[in-house]
Amino acid sequence: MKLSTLVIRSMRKNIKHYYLYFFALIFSAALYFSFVTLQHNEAVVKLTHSSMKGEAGFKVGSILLVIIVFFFVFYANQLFLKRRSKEIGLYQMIGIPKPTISYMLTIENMVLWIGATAIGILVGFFFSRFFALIFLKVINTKREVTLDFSTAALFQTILVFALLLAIVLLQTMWVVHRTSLLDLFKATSKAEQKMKKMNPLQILLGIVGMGLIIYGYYLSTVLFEMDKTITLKDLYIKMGTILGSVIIGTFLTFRYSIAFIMNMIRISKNGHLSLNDVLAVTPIMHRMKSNALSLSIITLMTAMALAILSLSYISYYSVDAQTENYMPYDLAILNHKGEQKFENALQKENIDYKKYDFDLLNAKIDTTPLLEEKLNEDLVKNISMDNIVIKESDAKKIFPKIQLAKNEAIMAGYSDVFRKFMPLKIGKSMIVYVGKEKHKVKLMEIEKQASISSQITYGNPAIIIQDELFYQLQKNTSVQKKTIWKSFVGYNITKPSQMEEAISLYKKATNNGTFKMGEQDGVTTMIQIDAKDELYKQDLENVGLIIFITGFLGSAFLIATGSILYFKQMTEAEEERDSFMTLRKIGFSTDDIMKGIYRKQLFSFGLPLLIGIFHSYFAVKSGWMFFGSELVVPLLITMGIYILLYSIFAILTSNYYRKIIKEIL
Amino acid sequence: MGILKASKIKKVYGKKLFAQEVLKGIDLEVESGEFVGIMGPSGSGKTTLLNVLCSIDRPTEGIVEINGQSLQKMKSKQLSTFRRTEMGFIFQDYNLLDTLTVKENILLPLSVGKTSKQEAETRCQQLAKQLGIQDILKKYPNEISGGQKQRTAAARALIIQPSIVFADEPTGALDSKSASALLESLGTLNKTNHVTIMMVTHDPVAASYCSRVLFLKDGQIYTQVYKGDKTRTQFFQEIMKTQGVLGGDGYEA
Repeated sequence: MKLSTLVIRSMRKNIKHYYLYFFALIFSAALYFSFVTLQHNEAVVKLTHSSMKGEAGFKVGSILLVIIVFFFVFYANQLFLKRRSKEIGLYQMIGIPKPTISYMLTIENMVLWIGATAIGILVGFFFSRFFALIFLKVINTKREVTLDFSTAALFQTILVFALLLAIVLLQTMWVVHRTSLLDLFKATSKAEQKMKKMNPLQILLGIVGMGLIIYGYYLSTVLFEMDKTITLKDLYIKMGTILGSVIIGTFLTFRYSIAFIMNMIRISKNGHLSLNDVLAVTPIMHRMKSNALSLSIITLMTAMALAILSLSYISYYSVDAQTENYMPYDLAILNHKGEQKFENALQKENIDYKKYDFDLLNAKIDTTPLLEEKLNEDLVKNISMDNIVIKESDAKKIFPKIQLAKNEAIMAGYSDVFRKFMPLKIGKSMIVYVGKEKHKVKLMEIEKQASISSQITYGNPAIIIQDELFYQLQKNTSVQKKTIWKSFVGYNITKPSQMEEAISLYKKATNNGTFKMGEQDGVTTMIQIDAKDELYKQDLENVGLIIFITGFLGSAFLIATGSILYFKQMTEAEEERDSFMTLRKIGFSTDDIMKGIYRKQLFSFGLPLLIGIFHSYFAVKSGWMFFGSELVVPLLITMGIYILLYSIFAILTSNYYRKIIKEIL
Repeated sequence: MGILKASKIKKVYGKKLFAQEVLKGIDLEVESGEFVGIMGPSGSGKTTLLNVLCSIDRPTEGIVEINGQSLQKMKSKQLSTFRRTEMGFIFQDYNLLDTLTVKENILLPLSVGKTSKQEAETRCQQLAKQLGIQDILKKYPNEISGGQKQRTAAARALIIQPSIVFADEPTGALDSKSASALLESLGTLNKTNHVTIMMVTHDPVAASYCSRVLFLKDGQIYTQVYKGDKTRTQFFQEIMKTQGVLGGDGYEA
């Protein structure tokens, strides 16, 4: 028999094992190729406002993707080789020299890779259209994008996969080189580690591991504390410490703490285990030594994916809220300039609208007494005493429930970022200066929703006070002098279909939304007011690219971790085949055994997910305010979707177990 | 009283043209407290018969009753429960779970069910003592010898106090010393605890520990010999003689 016949026969015989590896490869190639196709498509890159950023984003994305694909392929190959270790041993036994075995496996791998990459590129080409569609949807444009087959993308994909193949071949040769004939007979028993008594050092390490994680979490919550004067260098050191302690902690937890806890449970049962313990606890304990590293990596990958996805979704989700805060109405006019002209035009075109009229004052108000924590001197000096004041009767149009006494006030448009850095206490009083008089006004409530554009309020919240106090302020000359914008009129167009027309009418009536105020001392103040619709689109296109790339990477992470766990469980199921057979024979039904298997899956999938969620929660919580203004909803949505998709892998795995257990007898 | 009653057991593998009849209508009855051996040349259907009798395999035709309950009328789930509560199993390759200690392996069949912990503990200690494995209860299967493994398996089979124990070549993988120690224990348990045992073996020495030995040939019961008042050596010689008449090499698996 020629060597080539042997190769072909062994490939045909192993087709079942190849499936997994083959699909992993096709999937990776498809993902990579479609991503690179988008990267090389100028139309897509130019869709984003700042094309420089877009290019860089795609570049970083593709590098990260290569890393994910590398891990994935490397792991799949390792499992694949492990499953075939008996075969490799057998070849050695019948006297085929190791180099020849390596050569055989090399040919096999080359055939596989060339096939998979070709199919992957084809699939990826169709994927890329689909991804482009999603991309356009994300940035909410109706523009058309044509996607041609990109030769640049083709070459890049081929190059990357050729390099990956080289690495995988090296890995294969290394494994062949290392296997001895003895391993052939020990192949299965080797994986099982003898459970020895836990020595005190291991227990200590386990505790240290959990301690490190908690310490990392604690540090992350105080990462951006304002009261300390921190330099950028300190910040980096702190971040590094958090990262290090959480990573090491995760590994130690998996390696020692979990085995320790399970051992305690086991010892406490004194031999009287339930079937669930037999199927879930003991195999996990036995495999913890070899699984600790991969479970840690999966956990950290999950945490990373979740954190990235959450943060980018937060920014995407917050576009709405941030635009809303920046511009709470569809259109707005300052100081009644062009108001009449605009309204006449609207009426002429039969466009229905709602009008919100606000009188504004710029008053001197000391808000520092409201602060929950004392800030340091430098920061206090920087807090402006200029605040925009609105009267209660105007504010009632958007906050119908408010009811103020003379010495009470409400803040509107206090964003989450401010809340995080400078939390205010409801019930404390601020000081309103009316000439030389000081009025103490109690803060009753903080509204997240803005009443007027934050452009006018310098990003501060607007302060709503009772009408009487408002008129008192209005009479004050220094207040009058400081007040540039005396009024703010917001318009909401009733029918969205008429929005475009209304915007063009608005632009005509208001000189493209530019408001100038000739002021004393010859200084002119100018503000450009944009329609909310246009602002929103601009913002969306800016964050759209980021969310798309991160979403892409996040999904790649998810699928990679899910598949690795799936492969792993498949291998474990094969290894435990004998145990299942024994259990079936001595009288446990498939359902009895499956109950234990569900437990095991809950652990195998649930624990990395749970720890990953905790990690990402603390990571996101420490810095989310730089990405957007909403935390809870996008975080819950992201995690919810992630958990849902992730559980698909757990269900697939359980079904695989069920199949094995059922067919065994 | 008959513990096990089988009538007209047929088992056919394959379909139509390729059909191969492995069991050709076997009638069999086992009384409580018996120690029955099944012998026969390779391919005579020993293991198939045992698998059919113990409900691991289903016969193509015929009825198996254990304690008056027909196995064929039960669904797969009921069968599982029945196996777990009424039958004990000892296999040639031990089939212990490597991840469990000896004690945990012995207690495994009780892990589902209502046996109290004290009761389980007492039974476990008693069996371990009878089988001479009380010193290795905390060890893992890969730390003990083959003989100890098989005695562990025997303890696992007996912990549920089964109506009948099925043993498939229990001494097949053991050296002669461990084998006779195991058989000695099984024989004692058979007498003192009145455990009914049914054992497939190709080893005449092992068979000589039985109270009755069935000989299978080509899927049918060829003959059977009773120990009666004979000594073990006499019985052994009778078995050898029958095997000689039967022809075929008894020394293959």
